[in-house]
Amino acid sequence: MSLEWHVDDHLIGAYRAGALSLAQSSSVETHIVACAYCRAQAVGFADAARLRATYSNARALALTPPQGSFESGLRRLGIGDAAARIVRASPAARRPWVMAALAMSGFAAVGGTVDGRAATVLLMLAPLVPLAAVALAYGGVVDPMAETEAPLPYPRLRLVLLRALALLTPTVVAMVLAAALLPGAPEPTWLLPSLGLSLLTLVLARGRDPSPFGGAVALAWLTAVAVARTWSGNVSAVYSAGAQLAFAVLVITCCAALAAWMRTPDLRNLP
Amino acid sequence: MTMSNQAATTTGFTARALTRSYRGTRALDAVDLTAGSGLLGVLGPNGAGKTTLLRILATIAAPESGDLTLLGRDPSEVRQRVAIRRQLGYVPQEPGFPRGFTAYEYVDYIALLKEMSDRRRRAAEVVRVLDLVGLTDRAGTRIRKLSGGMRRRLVLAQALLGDPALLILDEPTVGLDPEQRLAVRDLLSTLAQTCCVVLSTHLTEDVAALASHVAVLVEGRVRYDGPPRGLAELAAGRVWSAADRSPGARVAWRGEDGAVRQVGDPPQGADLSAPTMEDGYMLLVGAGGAA
Repeated sequence: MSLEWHVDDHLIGAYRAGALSLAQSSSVETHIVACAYCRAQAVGFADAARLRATYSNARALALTPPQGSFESGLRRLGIGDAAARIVRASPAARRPWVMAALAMSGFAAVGGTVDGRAATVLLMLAPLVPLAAVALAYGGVVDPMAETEAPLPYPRLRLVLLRALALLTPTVVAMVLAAALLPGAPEPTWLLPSLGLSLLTLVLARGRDPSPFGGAVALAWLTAVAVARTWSGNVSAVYSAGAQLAFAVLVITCCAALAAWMRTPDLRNLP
Repeated sequence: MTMSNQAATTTGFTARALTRSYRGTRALDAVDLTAGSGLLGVLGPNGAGKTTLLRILATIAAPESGDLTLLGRDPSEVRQRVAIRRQLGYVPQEPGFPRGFTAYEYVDYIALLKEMSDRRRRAAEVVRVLDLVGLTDRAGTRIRKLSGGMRRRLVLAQALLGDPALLILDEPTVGLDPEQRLAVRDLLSTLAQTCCVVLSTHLTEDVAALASHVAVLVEGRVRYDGPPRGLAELAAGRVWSAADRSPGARVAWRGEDGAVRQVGDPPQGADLSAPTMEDGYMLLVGAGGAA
Protein backbone atom coordinates (compact mmCIF):
# COMPACT_ATOMS: atom_id res chain seq x y z
CA MET A 1 0.00 0.00 0.00
CA SER A 2 1.43 3.34 -1.00
CA LEU A 3 1.48 5.86 1.79
CA GLU A 4 2.40 8.89 -0.35
CA TRP A 5 -1.10 10.22 0.19
CA HIS A 6 -2.20 11.51 3.61
CA VAL A 7 -5.51 12.35 5.22
CA ASP A 8 -5.78 16.14 4.96
CA ASP A 9 -7.39 18.55 7.44
CA HIS A 10 -10.54 18.85 5.36
CA LEU A 11 -11.06 15.09 5.22
CA ILE A 12 -10.30 14.49 8.89
CA GLY A 13 -12.62 17.36 9.82
CA ALA A 14 -15.44 15.76 7.83
CA TYR A 15 -14.61 12.38 9.41
CA ARG A 16 -14.76 13.78 12.96
CA ALA A 17 -18.02 15.56 12.16
CA GLY A 18 -19.44 12.24 10.95
CA ALA A 19 -20.09 13.71 7.51
CA LEU A 20 -18.39 10.92 5.52
CA SER A 21 -20.06 7.88 4.01
CA LEU A 22 -19.35 4.47 5.50
CA ALA A 23 -16.91 3.67 2.67
CA GLN A 24 -15.05 6.97 3.10
CA SER A 25 -14.90 6.60 6.91
CA SER A 26 -13.56 3.07 6.62
CA SER A 27 -10.97 4.26 4.14
CA VAL A 28 -9.81 7.03 6.51
CA GLU A 29 -9.62 4.60 9.45
CA THR A 30 -7.70 1.98 7.45
CA HIS A 31 -5.24 4.61 6.30
CA ILE A 32 -4.66 6.05 9.79
CA VAL A 33 -3.98 2.61 11.20
CA ALA A 34 -1.41 1.91 8.47
CA CYS A 35 0.24 5.35 8.20
CA ALA A 36 2.57 6.52 10.95
CA TYR A 37 2.42 10.13 9.80
CA CYS A 38 -1.38 10.34 9.91
CA ARG A 39 -1.45 8.40 13.17
CA ALA A 40 0.79 11.03 14.71
CA GLN A 41 -1.52 13.73 13.41
CA ALA A 42 -4.60 11.95 14.74
CA VAL A 43 -3.22 11.62 18.29
CA GLY A 44 -4.06 15.27 18.86
CA PHE A 45 -7.73 14.56 18.25
CA ALA A 46 -7.94 11.75 20.76
CA ASP A 47 -9.49 12.40 24.16
CA ALA A 48 -6.63 11.41 26.50
CA ALA A 49 -8.91 10.71 29.47
CA ARG A 50 -11.15 8.49 27.37
CA LEU A 51 -8.17 6.64 25.96
CA ARG A 52 -6.81 6.07 29.45
CA ALA A 53 -10.20 4.81 30.62
CA THR A 54 -10.50 2.46 27.65
CA TYR A 55 -7.00 1.16 28.26
CA SER A 56 -7.49 0.62 31.98
CA ASN A 57 -10.84 -1.08 31.38
CA ALA A 58 -9.26 -3.43 28.86
CA ARG A 59 -6.42 -4.14 31.28
CA ALA A 60 -8.79 -4.78 34.18
CA LEU A 61 -10.77 -7.15 32.00
CA ALA A 62 -7.60 -9.00 31.04
CA LEU A 63 -6.51 -9.30 34.69
CA THR A 64 -9.91 -10.38 36.02
CA PRO A 65 -9.71 -14.09 36.70
CA PRO A 66 -12.58 -16.29 35.55
CA GLN A 67 -15.03 -17.20 38.28
CA GLY A 68 -14.18 -20.51 39.93
CA SER A 69 -16.48 -23.53 39.60
CA PHE A 70 -17.70 -23.30 43.21
CA GLU A 71 -18.76 -19.66 42.88
CA SER A 72 -20.25 -20.05 39.42
CA GLY A 73 -22.20 -23.06 40.72
CA LEU A 74 -23.63 -20.92 43.51
CA ARG A 75 -24.43 -18.19 41.01
CA ARG A 76 -26.41 -20.65 38.92
CA LEU A 77 -28.52 -21.28 42.03
CA GLY A 78 -29.46 -17.59 41.90
CA ILE A 79 -26.99 -16.40 44.53
CA GLY A 80 -25.41 -12.97 43.92
CA ASP A 81 -21.71 -12.18 43.40
CA ALA A 82 -21.17 -10.92 46.95
CA ALA A 83 -23.04 -13.77 48.61
CA ALA A 84 -21.23 -16.40 46.53
CA ARG A 85 -17.85 -14.93 47.48
CA ILE A 86 -18.83 -14.69 51.16
CA VAL A 87 -19.82 -18.35 51.18
CA ARG A 88 -16.50 -19.27 49.58
CA ALA A 89 -14.56 -17.09 52.05
CA SER A 90 -16.26 -18.76 55.02
CA PRO A 91 -13.75 -20.13 57.47
CA ALA A 92 -13.07 -23.78 56.83
CA ALA A 93 -15.94 -24.02 54.35
CA ARG A 94 -15.10 -27.64 53.64
CA ARG A 95 -14.64 -28.80 57.21
CA PRO A 96 -18.29 -29.07 58.37
CA TRP A 97 -18.88 -31.93 55.90
CA VAL A 98 -16.11 -33.91 57.50
CA MET A 99 -17.19 -32.97 61.02
CA ALA A 100 -20.85 -33.87 60.46
CA ALA A 101 -20.13 -37.11 58.60
CA LEU A 102 -17.72 -38.17 61.36
CA ALA A 103 -20.28 -37.36 64.05
CA MET A 104 -23.00 -39.37 62.35
CA SER A 105 -20.63 -42.28 61.67
CA GLY A 106 -19.82 -42.24 65.39
CA PHE A 107 -23.52 -42.34 66.27
CA ALA A 108 -24.10 -45.15 63.78
CA ALA A 109 -21.17 -47.17 65.11
CA VAL A 110 -22.29 -46.77 68.73
CA GLY A 111 -25.94 -47.36 67.84
CA GLY A 112 -24.98 -50.56 66.02
CA THR A 113 -22.91 -52.11 68.80
CA VAL A 114 -24.14 -50.88 72.15
CA ASP A 115 -27.73 -51.10 73.30
CA GLY A 116 -30.05 -48.07 73.32
CA ARG A 117 -28.67 -46.12 76.28
CA ALA A 118 -25.36 -44.79 74.90
CA ALA A 119 -26.95 -44.19 71.53
CA THR A 120 -29.72 -42.13 73.15
CA VAL A 121 -27.19 -39.97 74.98
CA LEU A 122 -25.29 -39.42 71.75
CA LEU A 123 -28.53 -38.57 70.00
CA MET A 124 -29.04 -35.81 72.57
CA LEU A 125 -25.67 -34.40 71.49
CA ALA A 126 -26.47 -34.51 67.75
CA PRO A 127 -28.00 -30.98 67.60
CA LEU A 128 -24.77 -29.60 69.03
CA VAL A 129 -22.93 -30.41 65.77
CA PRO A 130 -24.90 -27.96 63.56
CA LEU A 131 -25.01 -25.55 66.49
CA ALA A 132 -21.20 -25.57 66.64
CA ALA A 133 -21.05 -24.89 62.89
CA VAL A 134 -23.22 -21.78 63.33
CA ALA A 135 -21.45 -20.60 66.49
CA LEU A 136 -18.06 -20.70 64.75
CA ALA A 137 -19.28 -19.14 61.50
CA TYR A 138 -18.20 -15.56 62.13
CA GLY A 139 -15.65 -13.81 64.33
CA GLY A 140 -13.95 -15.55 67.19
CA VAL A 141 -10.78 -17.57 66.89
CA VAL A 142 -11.52 -19.58 63.75
CA ASP A 143 -12.39 -16.64 61.50
CA PRO A 144 -9.21 -14.86 60.41
CA MET A 145 -11.07 -12.30 58.30
CA ALA A 146 -13.39 -10.81 60.93
CA GLU A 147 -11.07 -7.95 61.86
CA THR A 148 -10.73 -6.85 58.22
CA GLU A 149 -14.45 -7.29 57.54
CA ALA A 150 -15.67 -5.52 60.67
CA PRO A 151 -15.48 -1.92 59.36
CA LEU A 152 -16.93 -2.68 55.91
CA PRO A 153 -20.37 -1.29 55.02
CA TYR A 154 -21.84 -4.65 53.91
CA PRO A 155 -24.84 -5.40 56.17
CA ARG A 156 -23.43 -7.31 59.12
CA LEU A 157 -26.52 -9.43 59.73
CA ARG A 158 -26.49 -10.60 56.11
CA LEU A 159 -22.78 -11.42 56.34
CA VAL A 160 -23.23 -13.49 59.50
CA LEU A 161 -26.31 -15.28 58.13
CA LEU A 162 -24.54 -16.18 54.88
CA ARG A 163 -21.54 -17.44 56.81
CA ALA A 164 -23.80 -19.46 59.08
CA LEU A 165 -25.72 -20.93 56.13
CA ALA A 166 -22.43 -21.76 54.41
CA LEU A 167 -21.53 -23.98 57.36
CA LEU A 168 -24.99 -25.10 58.50
CA THR A 169 -26.17 -26.37 55.10
CA PRO A 170 -23.31 -28.83 54.41
CA THR A 171 -23.33 -29.96 58.04
CA VAL A 172 -27.03 -30.81 58.05
CA VAL A 173 -26.92 -32.34 54.55
CA ALA A 174 -23.95 -34.52 55.55
CA MET A 175 -25.73 -35.63 58.71
CA VAL A 176 -28.94 -36.47 56.84
CA LEU A 177 -26.97 -38.38 54.17
CA ALA A 178 -24.94 -40.26 56.76
CA ALA A 179 -28.12 -41.11 58.70
CA ALA A 180 -29.74 -42.42 55.52
CA LEU A 181 -26.76 -44.45 54.36
CA LEU A 182 -25.34 -45.86 57.58
CA PRO A 183 -27.12 -48.78 59.19
CA GLY A 184 -27.92 -48.06 62.83
CA ALA A 185 -27.75 -44.27 62.45
CA PRO A 186 -30.41 -42.39 64.44
CA GLU A 187 -33.82 -41.38 63.08
CA PRO A 188 -33.86 -37.71 61.99
CA THR A 189 -35.58 -36.60 65.20
CA TRP A 190 -32.51 -34.42 65.81
CA LEU A 191 -33.17 -32.33 62.69
CA LEU A 192 -35.77 -29.84 63.98
CA PRO A 193 -33.99 -29.31 67.32
CA SER A 194 -30.72 -28.77 65.39
CA LEU A 195 -32.28 -26.10 63.18
CA GLY A 196 -34.16 -24.54 66.10
CA LEU A 197 -31.06 -24.20 68.27
CA SER A 198 -28.92 -22.93 65.37
CA LEU A 199 -31.44 -20.30 64.31
CA LEU A 200 -32.03 -19.25 67.92
CA THR A 201 -28.29 -18.62 68.20
CA LEU A 202 -28.39 -16.38 65.12
CA VAL A 203 -31.40 -14.48 66.46
CA LEU A 204 -29.72 -13.90 69.82
CA ALA A 205 -26.41 -12.88 68.18
CA ARG A 206 -28.18 -10.49 65.81
CA GLY A 207 -25.10 -9.89 63.68
CA ARG A 208 -22.55 -10.14 66.46
CA ASP A 209 -20.02 -12.95 66.99
CA PRO A 210 -22.38 -15.93 67.49
CA SER A 211 -19.95 -18.08 69.53
CA PRO A 212 -20.92 -16.90 73.06
CA PHE A 213 -24.63 -17.15 72.17
CA GLY A 214 -24.09 -20.62 70.72
CA GLY A 215 -22.41 -21.60 73.97
CA ALA A 216 -25.37 -20.33 75.99
CA VAL A 217 -27.88 -22.13 73.73
CA ALA A 218 -25.87 -25.37 73.98
CA LEU A 219 -25.89 -25.07 77.76
CA ALA A 220 -29.66 -24.47 77.75
CA TRP A 221 -30.16 -27.56 75.57
CA LEU A 222 -28.03 -29.78 77.83
CA THR A 223 -29.92 -28.43 80.86
CA ALA A 224 -33.24 -29.26 79.15
CA VAL A 225 -31.99 -32.79 78.46
CA ALA A 226 -30.92 -33.18 82.11
CA VAL A 227 -34.27 -31.83 83.35
CA ALA A 228 -36.19 -34.16 81.01
CA ARG A 229 -34.22 -37.08 82.40
CA THR A 230 -34.88 -36.13 86.03
CA TRP A 231 -38.59 -35.46 85.58
CA SER A 232 -39.70 -38.12 83.16
CA GLY A 233 -36.84 -40.54 83.73
CA ASN A 234 -36.36 -40.67 79.98
CA VAL A 235 -34.13 -38.30 78.02
CA SER A 236 -36.12 -38.98 74.85
CA ALA A 237 -38.78 -36.56 76.15
CA VAL A 238 -36.84 -33.77 74.39
CA TYR A 239 -37.60 -35.57 71.13
CA SER A 240 -41.29 -36.23 71.85
CA ALA A 241 -43.98 -35.13 69.39
CA GLY A 242 -44.79 -32.11 71.57
CA ALA A 243 -41.13 -31.08 71.65
CA GLN A 244 -40.88 -31.50 67.87
CA LEU A 245 -43.87 -29.20 67.44
CA ALA A 246 -42.29 -26.65 69.77
CA PHE A 247 -39.06 -26.76 67.75
CA ALA A 248 -41.02 -26.33 64.50
CA VAL A 249 -42.60 -23.19 65.98
CA LEU A 250 -39.15 -21.99 67.12
CA VAL A 251 -37.71 -22.50 63.61
CA ILE A 252 -40.56 -20.55 61.99
CA THR A 253 -40.40 -17.75 64.57
CA CYS A 254 -36.63 -17.36 64.21
CA CYS A 255 -36.84 -17.34 60.40
CA ALA A 256 -39.57 -14.69 60.55
CA ALA A 257 -37.54 -12.53 62.97
CA LEU A 258 -34.39 -12.76 60.84
CA ALA A 259 -36.33 -12.00 57.65
CA ALA A 260 -37.94 -8.95 59.29
CA TRP A 261 -34.58 -7.66 60.53
CA MET A 262 -33.04 -8.09 57.09
CA ARG A 263 -35.65 -5.69 55.73
CA THR A 264 -34.93 -3.08 58.43
CA PRO A 265 -31.77 -1.10 57.63
CA ASP A 266 -31.06 -0.17 61.26
CA LEU A 267 -31.22 -3.77 62.44
CA ARG A 268 -29.51 -5.20 59.39
CA ASN A 269 -26.46 -3.06 60.06
CA LEU A 270 -26.02 -3.74 63.74
CA PRO A 271 -23.70 -3.68 65.53
CA MET B 1 -3.01 21.45 66.71
CA THR B 2 -3.91 24.50 64.68
CA MET B 3 -6.67 22.96 62.65
CA SER B 4 -9.78 24.92 61.90
CA ASN B 5 -12.90 23.45 63.47
CA GLN B 6 -14.66 23.42 60.12
CA ALA B 7 -12.00 21.20 58.56
CA ALA B 8 -11.88 18.97 61.59
CA THR B 9 -15.59 18.28 61.57
CA THR B 10 -16.02 17.20 57.95
CA THR B 11 -12.63 15.60 57.28
CA GLY B 12 -10.77 13.44 59.73
CA PHE B 13 -12.03 13.01 63.26
CA THR B 14 -12.56 14.69 66.60
CA ALA B 15 -12.26 12.69 69.81
CA ARG B 16 -12.98 14.06 73.27
CA ALA B 17 -12.31 12.22 76.53
CA LEU B 18 -12.37 8.77 74.89
CA THR B 19 -12.15 6.05 77.50
CA ARG B 20 -12.08 2.31 77.03
CA SER B 21 -11.08 -0.53 79.34
CA TYR B 22 -10.15 -4.13 78.65
CA ARG B 23 -10.35 -6.67 81.48
CA GLY B 24 -10.12 -4.06 84.19
CA THR B 25 -7.22 -2.05 82.75
CA ARG B 26 -7.66 1.32 81.10
CA ALA B 27 -6.59 0.89 77.48
CA LEU B 28 -7.55 4.50 76.73
CA ASP B 29 -7.89 7.12 79.41
CA ALA B 30 -9.64 10.39 78.49
CA VAL B 31 -8.00 10.72 75.09
CA ASP B 32 -8.50 14.07 73.32
CA LEU B 33 -7.35 14.07 69.73
CA THR B 34 -8.32 15.86 66.54
CA ALA B 35 -7.06 15.38 63.00
CA GLY B 36 -7.99 16.78 59.60
CA SER B 37 -6.47 15.85 56.27
CA GLY B 38 -2.83 14.88 56.43
CA LEU B 39 -1.08 12.08 58.25
CA LEU B 40 -1.43 11.59 61.98
CA GLY B 41 1.27 9.34 63.37
CA VAL B 42 0.27 7.58 66.58
CA LEU B 43 3.43 6.56 68.41
CA GLY B 44 3.69 4.52 71.54
CA PRO B 45 5.22 1.43 73.09
CA ASN B 46 3.43 -1.92 72.89
CA GLY B 47 0.32 -1.93 75.05
CA ALA B 48 0.03 1.87 75.05
CA GLY B 49 -3.49 1.75 73.58
CA LYS B 50 -2.64 2.44 69.92
CA THR B 51 -4.62 -0.52 68.56
CA THR B 52 -7.57 0.24 70.84
CA LEU B 53 -7.64 3.84 69.59
CA LEU B 54 -7.37 2.77 65.95
CA ARG B 55 -10.11 0.13 66.32
CA ILE B 56 -12.40 2.80 67.77
CA LEU B 57 -11.55 5.15 64.89
CA ALA B 58 -12.29 2.28 62.47
CA THR B 59 -15.79 1.85 64.03
CA ILE B 60 -14.97 -1.70 65.18
CA ALA B 61 -14.93 -0.96 68.88
CA ALA B 62 -17.00 1.63 70.72
CA PRO B 63 -15.65 3.87 73.47
CA GLU B 64 -17.17 3.43 76.93
CA SER B 65 -17.38 7.16 77.33
CA GLY B 66 -16.38 10.30 75.47
CA ASP B 67 -17.44 11.95 72.22
CA LEU B 68 -16.31 10.85 68.81
CA THR B 69 -17.01 12.38 65.42
CA LEU B 70 -15.69 10.63 62.31
CA LEU B 71 -15.90 12.50 59.00
CA GLY B 72 -18.44 14.83 60.59
CA ARG B 73 -20.69 11.93 61.63
CA ASP B 74 -21.59 10.09 64.80
CA PRO B 75 -20.36 6.46 64.71
CA SER B 76 -22.66 5.40 67.55
CA GLU B 77 -25.72 5.92 65.35
CA VAL B 78 -26.34 2.99 62.96
CA ARG B 79 -27.01 4.82 59.70
CA GLN B 80 -24.25 7.34 60.25
CA ARG B 81 -21.84 4.51 61.06
CA VAL B 82 -22.64 2.83 57.74
CA ALA B 83 -22.10 6.19 55.99
CA ILE B 84 -18.70 6.50 57.73
CA ARG B 85 -17.80 2.92 56.76
CA ARG B 86 -18.45 3.71 53.10
CA GLN B 87 -15.58 6.24 53.28
CA LEU B 88 -13.25 4.25 55.48
CA GLY B 89 -10.20 2.10 54.81
CA TYR B 90 -8.69 -0.06 57.52
CA VAL B 91 -5.53 -2.13 57.84
CA PRO B 92 -5.70 -4.29 60.96
CA GLN B 93 -2.56 -5.14 62.90
CA GLU B 94 -2.88 -8.88 62.31
CA PRO B 95 -5.05 -9.38 59.24
CA GLY B 96 -6.12 -12.87 58.23
CA PHE B 97 -6.87 -14.18 54.76
CA PRO B 98 -9.53 -16.52 53.43
CA ARG B 99 -8.12 -19.91 52.49
CA GLY B 100 -7.31 -20.56 48.87
CA PHE B 101 -7.90 -17.02 47.60
CA THR B 102 -5.66 -15.32 45.08
CA ALA B 103 -4.49 -11.73 45.64
CA TYR B 104 -7.08 -10.53 43.12
CA GLU B 105 -9.93 -12.54 44.67
CA TYR B 106 -9.11 -11.23 48.13
CA VAL B 107 -9.21 -7.57 47.08
CA ASP B 108 -12.28 -8.27 44.94
CA TYR B 109 -13.97 -9.88 47.97
CA ILE B 110 -13.40 -6.76 50.08
CA ALA B 111 -14.66 -4.66 47.15
CA LEU B 112 -17.88 -6.69 47.17
CA LEU B 113 -18.23 -6.05 50.90
CA LYS B 114 -17.61 -2.37 50.16
CA GLU B 115 -20.78 -2.59 48.08
CA MET B 116 -19.14 -2.23 44.67
CA SER B 117 -21.70 -4.29 42.79
CA ASP B 118 -20.95 -3.16 39.23
CA ARG B 119 -18.54 -5.84 37.92
CA ARG B 120 -16.74 -3.69 35.39
CA ARG B 121 -16.16 -0.78 37.74
CA ARG B 122 -15.14 -3.14 40.51
CA ALA B 123 -12.58 -4.84 38.27
CA ALA B 124 -11.07 -1.46 37.34
CA GLU B 125 -10.91 -0.44 41.01
CA VAL B 126 -9.30 -3.72 42.11
CA VAL B 127 -6.63 -3.33 39.43
CA ARG B 128 -6.11 0.32 40.41
CA VAL B 129 -5.36 -0.50 44.06
CA LEU B 130 -3.20 -3.50 43.14
CA ASP B 131 -1.25 -1.09 40.90
CA LEU B 132 -0.86 1.37 43.77
CA VAL B 133 0.86 -1.21 45.97
CA GLY B 134 2.80 -2.76 43.08
CA LEU B 135 1.11 -6.17 43.16
CA THR B 136 -0.62 -6.21 39.77
CA ASP B 137 1.73 -8.86 38.43
CA ARG B 138 0.83 -11.05 41.43
CA ALA B 139 -2.92 -10.69 40.94
CA GLY B 140 -3.40 -14.37 40.10
CA THR B 141 -1.03 -15.70 42.80
CA ARG B 142 -2.50 -17.50 45.79
CA ILE B 143 -2.03 -15.51 48.98
CA ARG B 144 -0.23 -18.33 50.78
CA LYS B 145 2.49 -18.12 48.12
CA LEU B 146 3.07 -14.39 48.68
CA SER B 147 5.88 -13.13 50.94
CA GLY B 148 5.09 -11.41 54.24
CA GLY B 149 5.81 -7.99 52.75
CA MET B 150 3.56 -8.66 49.78
CA ARG B 151 0.73 -9.70 52.11
CA ARG B 152 1.11 -6.45 54.05
CA ARG B 153 0.85 -4.52 50.77
CA LEU B 154 -2.16 -6.60 49.76
CA VAL B 155 -3.95 -5.64 52.97
CA LEU B 156 -3.05 -2.01 52.28
CA ALA B 157 -4.53 -2.39 48.78
CA GLN B 158 -7.94 -3.47 50.11
CA ALA B 159 -7.97 -0.45 52.43
CA LEU B 160 -7.52 1.88 49.43
CA LEU B 161 -10.59 0.59 47.56
CA GLY B 162 -13.01 3.38 46.74
CA ASP B 163 -10.62 6.21 47.69
CA PRO B 164 -11.50 6.42 51.40
CA ALA B 165 -11.61 9.79 53.16
CA LEU B 166 -10.36 8.22 56.37
CA LEU B 167 -7.58 5.66 56.30
CA ILE B 168 -6.75 3.81 59.51
CA LEU B 169 -3.50 1.84 59.37
CA ASP B 170 -2.32 -0.25 62.31
CA GLU B 171 1.43 -0.77 61.92
CA PRO B 172 1.33 -0.95 58.11
CA THR B 173 5.12 -0.99 57.68
CA VAL B 174 5.81 -4.01 59.91
CA GLY B 175 7.47 -6.81 57.96
CA LEU B 176 8.36 -4.68 54.95
CA ASP B 177 11.92 -4.68 53.67
CA PRO B 178 13.58 -1.23 53.36
CA GLU B 179 12.70 -0.86 49.69
CA GLN B 180 9.03 -1.76 50.24
CA ARG B 181 8.91 0.52 53.26
CA LEU B 182 10.05 3.45 51.13
CA ALA B 183 7.48 2.63 48.44
CA VAL B 184 4.70 2.45 51.03
CA ARG B 185 5.85 5.74 52.61
CA ASP B 186 5.79 7.36 49.19
CA LEU B 187 2.25 6.09 48.60
CA LEU B 188 1.04 7.19 52.04
CA SER B 189 2.46 10.67 51.71
CA THR B 190 0.60 11.06 48.40
CA LEU B 191 -2.64 9.81 49.96
CA ALA B 192 -2.25 12.11 52.96
CA GLN B 193 -2.53 15.12 50.66
CA THR B 194 -6.19 14.41 50.02
CA CYS B 195 -7.45 12.35 52.96
CA CYS B 196 -6.98 11.79 56.67
CA VAL B 197 -4.48 9.01 57.31
CA VAL B 198 -4.05 7.71 60.84
CA LEU B 199 -1.03 5.47 61.19
CA SER B 200 0.16 3.69 64.29
CA THR B 201 3.74 2.62 64.62
CA HIS B 202 6.46 2.18 67.16
CA LEU B 203 9.04 3.45 64.70
CA THR B 204 9.76 7.17 65.02
CA GLU B 205 11.42 7.10 61.59
CA ASP B 206 8.05 6.27 59.94
CA VAL B 207 6.47 9.25 61.64
CA ALA B 208 9.43 11.56 61.01
CA ALA B 209 9.25 10.74 57.31
CA LEU B 210 5.50 11.09 56.90
CA ALA B 211 3.53 12.73 59.64
CA SER B 212 2.19 16.24 59.67
CA HIS B 213 0.90 15.60 63.18
CA VAL B 214 2.10 13.26 65.93
CA ALA B 215 0.40 11.89 69.00
CA VAL B 216 2.36 9.91 71.58
CA LEU B 217 0.30 7.46 73.62
CA VAL B 218 1.70 6.09 76.86
CA GLU B 219 -0.43 3.86 79.06
CA GLY B 220 -3.63 4.99 77.41
CA ARG B 221 -2.96 8.71 77.74
CA VAL B 222 -1.90 11.25 75.14
CA ARG B 223 1.52 12.43 76.27
CA TYR B 224 2.24 14.57 73.23
CA ASP B 225 0.02 16.00 70.52
CA GLY B 226 1.49 18.35 67.94
CA PRO B 227 3.87 18.69 64.99
CA PRO B 228 6.79 16.23 64.68
CA ARG B 229 9.24 19.08 65.16
CA GLY B 230 7.77 19.79 68.57
CA LEU B 231 8.53 16.25 69.69
CA ALA B 232 12.22 16.78 68.92
CA GLU B 233 12.12 20.13 70.70
CA LEU B 234 10.93 18.43 73.89
CA ALA B 235 14.37 16.94 74.17
CA ALA B 236 16.22 20.22 73.45
CA GLY B 237 18.99 20.64 75.95
CA ARG B 238 18.53 17.13 77.27
CA VAL B 239 20.42 15.03 74.75
CA TRP B 240 24.04 14.36 75.55
CA SER B 241 26.90 12.55 74.00
CA ALA B 242 29.52 11.04 76.29
CA ALA B 243 32.13 8.31 76.40
CA ASP B 244 30.11 6.18 78.82
CA ARG B 245 26.61 5.86 80.22
CA SER B 246 25.92 8.07 83.22
CA PRO B 247 23.57 7.21 86.11
CA GLY B 248 21.36 10.26 85.48
CA ALA B 249 20.36 9.16 81.97
CA ARG B 250 16.78 8.10 81.40
CA VAL B 251 17.70 6.28 78.24
CA ALA B 252 21.10 5.74 76.71
CA TRP B 253 22.43 3.82 73.76
CA ARG B 254 25.72 3.62 71.92
CA GLY B 255 25.55 5.36 68.57
CA GLU B 256 27.34 4.63 65.32
CA ASP B 257 30.23 6.91 66.28
CA GLY B 258 30.90 4.81 69.39
CA ALA B 259 29.80 7.57 71.77
CA VAL B 260 26.92 7.00 74.17
CA ARG B 261 23.90 9.09 73.32
CA GLN B 262 21.75 9.70 76.35
CA VAL B 263 18.60 11.58 77.09
CA GLY B 264 18.04 13.09 80.51
CA ASP B 265 19.95 15.15 83.04
CA PRO B 266 23.46 16.29 82.02
CA PRO B 267 26.11 13.73 82.79
CA GLN B 268 29.66 14.76 83.61
CA GLY B 269 31.98 15.42 80.71
CA ALA B 270 29.24 15.17 78.11
CA ASP B 271 28.53 17.34 75.10
CA LEU B 272 25.09 18.66 74.27
CA SER B 273 23.68 17.10 71.07
CA ALA B 274 21.00 18.29 68.68
CA PRO B 275 17.75 16.51 69.58
CA THR B 276 15.83 14.28 67.16
CA MET B 277 12.23 13.13 67.25
CA GLU B 278 13.35 9.81 68.63
CA ASP B 279 15.04 11.61 71.56
CA GLY B 280 11.80 13.41 72.40
CA TYR B 281 9.88 10.16 72.13
CA MET B 282 12.38 8.35 74.35
CA LEU B 283 12.08 11.11 76.92
CA LEU B 284 8.30 10.58 77.06
CA VAL B 285 8.35 6.82 76.94
CA GLY B 286 11.65 5.88 78.57
CA ALA B 287 11.75 4.70 82.18
CA GLY B 288 8.11 3.64 82.04
CA GLY B 289 6.97 6.99 80.72
CA ALA B 290 7.86 8.73 83.96
CA ALA B 291 9.33 11.78 82.23
